[in-house]
Amino acid sequence: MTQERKASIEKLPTGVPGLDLVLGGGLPEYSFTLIAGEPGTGKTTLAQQFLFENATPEQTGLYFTVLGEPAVKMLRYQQQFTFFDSRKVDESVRFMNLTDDALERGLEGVLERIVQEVKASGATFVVVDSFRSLVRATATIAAPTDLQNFVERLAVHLTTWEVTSLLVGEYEHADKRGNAVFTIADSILWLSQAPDNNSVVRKLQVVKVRGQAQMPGLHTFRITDDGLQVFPRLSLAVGGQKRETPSGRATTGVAGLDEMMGGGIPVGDSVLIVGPTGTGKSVLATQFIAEGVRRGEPGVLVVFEEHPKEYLHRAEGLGFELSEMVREGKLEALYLRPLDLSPDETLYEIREAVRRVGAKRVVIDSMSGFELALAPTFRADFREALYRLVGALTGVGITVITTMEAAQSHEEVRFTPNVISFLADDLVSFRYIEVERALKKVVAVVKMRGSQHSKEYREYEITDHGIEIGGDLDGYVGRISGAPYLATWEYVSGLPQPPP
Amino acid sequence: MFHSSPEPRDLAQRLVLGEAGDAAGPAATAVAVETVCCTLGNDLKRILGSGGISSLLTRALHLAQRDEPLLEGVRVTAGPEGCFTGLADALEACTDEEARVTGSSVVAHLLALLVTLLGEDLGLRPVRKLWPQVASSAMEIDE
Repeated sequence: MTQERKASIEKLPTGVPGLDLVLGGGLPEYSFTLIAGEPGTGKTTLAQQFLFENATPEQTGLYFTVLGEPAVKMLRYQQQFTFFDSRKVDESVRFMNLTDDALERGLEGVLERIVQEVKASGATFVVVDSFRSLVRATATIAAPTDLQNFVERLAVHLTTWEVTSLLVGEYEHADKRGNAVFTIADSILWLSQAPDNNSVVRKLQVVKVRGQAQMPGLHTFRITDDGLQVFPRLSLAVGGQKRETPSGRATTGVAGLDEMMGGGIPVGDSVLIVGPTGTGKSVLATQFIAEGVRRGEPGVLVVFEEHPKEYLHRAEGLGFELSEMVREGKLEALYLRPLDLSPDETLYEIREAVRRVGAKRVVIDSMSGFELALAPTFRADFREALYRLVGALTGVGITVITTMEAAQSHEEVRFTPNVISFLADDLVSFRYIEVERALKKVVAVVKMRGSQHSKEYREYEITDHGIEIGGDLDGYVGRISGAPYLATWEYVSGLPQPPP
Repeated sequence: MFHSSPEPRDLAQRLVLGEAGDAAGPAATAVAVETVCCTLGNDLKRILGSGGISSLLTRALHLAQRDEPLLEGVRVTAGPEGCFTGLADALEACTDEEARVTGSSVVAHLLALLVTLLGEDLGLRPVRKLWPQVASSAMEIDE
């Protein structure tokens, strides 16, 4: 059969941000979809998002409630969501209760009523909520074969009447086996939630969707005042931008450091700034982002450990008017502190901020804050999350600086328990050393992929204007020990000290 | 609280008066109250089911009985013959005005419950649909 003769299946938007991407474009029209999961996972909310997204006075939707959540409660709570447009109720979306039909006439009565209502209204969309309650209510009077027969007849009837239908049902994973509904359904969306220490993680899986390629795996979702929002497992594309191979250097705003890095950070690199507390990692990050805006490169500042207001206020103390840049739309300061984030949610927030301002530079301050903001269940996947986050940004030519607090060690950079330096193209190390009984700060460019860089330790100061790089501790040896000393004549020449 | 505000009482009395039409006396008021409640119930049954409607009517009657002890003997029924039993008997000895205020109290609490549970937009939508003139005149006065 040629391409032109194939049945064309339109994909309907679900009204759930992120879900269409996971489904492979949306729900197939005239399909029979099961929304399954345990109580409280958002099944009804998802079904109503779909209905309110699609139903119009010309293409109406019927929402059948059966024995599950009482209709009065369902309406009371669902209308709190922003998608619930009460103007559409009765005009485009009609709610109908099938409890009496189920109790009095069983499955046959329910089927008859649905058929009758669809015929009378010419509805384009149908939701049956809760399908499982219907099955339970009729279990005493219906044999399993009746149920299969009922589901098949319902599915065939709704499809032939060109109805896109959703069946909402409370199911556990064990219910999948040998269940007629799961076999007959064209698409199955499985919602789950699991407590994890003090947080709750919600996940959605597209178990199947006939005729189109869905995004496999579990995708986290959140229920907000706007309903469900799914955060698809990314995908290294940021905001629809194309992958590019950038060229040039991004100056850091610290002249001495640019010089050490061979003219600045190669555009599209990921730079890791490591060092103990108080060494100025955030100061450098601030200078980098401010310098970018000054050069017409918008930025996104992702702050995990303190409120952006405090962060911006501190930057102003150094003469960087970040608040003004935010007001002008050249900089976005994101505050991601909730302790139940998923990596994909974090990535989504950053991606959206990057898209909004057209960012060329991103600062993640700090990595340990990022890890803490994640729900415990995701911390095991932290390295993978970082890999995807950094890859997504640098892949489209965005230069990324990530800060990381680390104990003084030049031998390796560890983020317990995993080595993460592989994520960085370039590694800049800040540290303290003791010189002649005084504490001084030094910086070294430890690595730069594919680029020449300084091999020196350079002293630096944090001044009222930010970081200023000084000399290279000329004449001192043992700098890596943290307590260098002035080289003696014997050390330098290998000869005995000449007499004075 | 919508329950204690004058709007539902005023709207309820308008609905009852409207249903009674030219008929006067406590018996006519009782019929009018039943008609309003049953009409509302039948319309809402499509969405809320007969169980939901029965619960709402029972609660509305319970609240009305607290305000109007005369209604103590009234009961909610679930049959095609009406929503209540004993309403006509309860209002029998009242003056026209007393019967109207007492009987309308059940309707007022039913309306207030609908607004509390479903919000004014959805809760009063059946009233606007079934008695558009009464609803619009009541709203004009409110405005």
